[in-house]
Amino acid sequence: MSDRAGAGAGAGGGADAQAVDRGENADPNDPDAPTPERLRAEIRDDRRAERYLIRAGLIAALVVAIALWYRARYG
Amino acid sequence: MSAVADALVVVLVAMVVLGVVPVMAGLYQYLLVPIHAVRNHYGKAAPYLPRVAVLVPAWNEGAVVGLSIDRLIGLEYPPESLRVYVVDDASTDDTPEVILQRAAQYPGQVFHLRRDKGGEGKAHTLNHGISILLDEDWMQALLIMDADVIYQPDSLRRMTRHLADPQVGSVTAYIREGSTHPKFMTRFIGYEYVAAQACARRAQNVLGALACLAGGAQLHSRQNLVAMGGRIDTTTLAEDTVTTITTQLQGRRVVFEPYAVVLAEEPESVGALWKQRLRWGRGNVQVTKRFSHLWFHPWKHRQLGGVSFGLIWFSVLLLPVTMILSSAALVGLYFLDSEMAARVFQYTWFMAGATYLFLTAMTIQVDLPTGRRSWREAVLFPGVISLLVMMTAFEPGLLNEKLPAVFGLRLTALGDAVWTLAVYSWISLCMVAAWGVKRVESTRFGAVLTPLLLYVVGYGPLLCAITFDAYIKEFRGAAQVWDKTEKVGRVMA
Repeated sequence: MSDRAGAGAGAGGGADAQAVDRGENADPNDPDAPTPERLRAEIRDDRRAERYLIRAGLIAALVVAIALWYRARYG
Repeated sequence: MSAVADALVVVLVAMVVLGVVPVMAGLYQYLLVPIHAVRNHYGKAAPYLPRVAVLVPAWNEGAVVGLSIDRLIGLEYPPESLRVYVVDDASTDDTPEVILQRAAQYPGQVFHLRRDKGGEGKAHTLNHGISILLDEDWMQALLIMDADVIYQPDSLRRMTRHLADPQVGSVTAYIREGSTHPKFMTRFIGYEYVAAQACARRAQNVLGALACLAGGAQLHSRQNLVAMGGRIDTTTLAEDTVTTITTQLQGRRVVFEPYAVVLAEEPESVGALWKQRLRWGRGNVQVTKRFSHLWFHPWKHRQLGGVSFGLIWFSVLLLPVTMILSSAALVGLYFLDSEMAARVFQYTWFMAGATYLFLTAMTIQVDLPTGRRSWREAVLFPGVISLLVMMTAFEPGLLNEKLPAVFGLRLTALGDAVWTLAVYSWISLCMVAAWGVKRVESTRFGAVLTPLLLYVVGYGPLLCAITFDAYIKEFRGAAQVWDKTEKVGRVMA
């Protein structure tokens, strides 16, 4: 398809150009369909999942603490 | 000691300490990463599925573009809100045929935009597509990607949810090295991407300013594109960084979404990596000059012009300079006051060693699958020699006393001096050695020796050597060539 055809095929947003789908039209029976509930749950889960960063930071700090202790003890 | 010598010692010590600034900036950045657990953009994210036009620049991408399109069409995103526009940049391979075949396979969803004049670079190719898309009113958001990357099915909707916040202009994803059979180089890159993206960009989310949208994963709101004049910068080699900074300077946020994962094919050889990173490095030098009015000027932009962001930016850009200064200062200090040199070396490298431990332990955990796959590259990122140098800071006399003693040997005074100077010099000589690895790769023993040498010399020093080369090329005003990284389709989701 040429540029012209591509542009033509893409036209037609029309009056609803500003309306944004927030998942209301998704089929709730389709397990992969992004319904508003699923999208909200995903945000909640990802937000919660970020807590592992605190644990990762503490473990990394522990590794450094062991190295510092080693140096203080044997260095 | 005379007053002049005393003053010289102070200057040299300051130069060595300057070498620790990038280390401390790296540590500071990593200390921000856990804060992302509580300070992130999820509170303002919401279900939001705008009509997304995906713009794929393609120049001789026949080997990879078909699979990329298939994956895009298979995204878990409302099909009526997703269109793929491939800008064929005057390809001479079978790229047009592959795109046209997919356009027929997915009518109304895949479009072929042909440029008859190609090879001008990615930004020109993107602008060709953007101008067509902005002429229509269908598109509400634009996803700019590379032809070889593969989006995981849920990645796009994980990005669009941040655009529900009208203050957000752009969102980027986590680019993960995605070779199915990674070699030494791709494992190094995989680990590097965890550090430079999954970790560093989370830290930048916390700071409220992002340094760069990943070139292969930039989602822009239509308003953001319009505000930027509907064009991507074509004057530098780092158009994605210019876009990122411009967006933020115009008052819109840029957000990194760590759970939107995009797999990318990366170079497998030192030569290919050098070519790719030289382009990035030169781009960064150009961006630094272009926004020179911004750095450390918080009144121009609170976050981008802040001290934190400036430190992080210049610590990466000027790392080779600080390494050379630090190394030269240590050698000079050795001749003026060898005990002082030993003390300063030990303190600075002890800090570097402790930071390396923290960064490595943290990075491996942030992306465990990559961490498991690349743990050797994680440990050997600085190289075997630099690791040994670091260990001497933890265990003084390890290399020049304890190790020879194992074999019943003892270094003479001259041997000890040579050894000490070699250790001090290594901080800058490692970049020369990394350049040597690149040269070795092109010899007939390259295939065997290159991996071995890279583990010994280090991937970190290799990146610094490339950055140094970028300074030289920019200083000499070398031709600005868009050297495309060769892609063969090794990535499979």
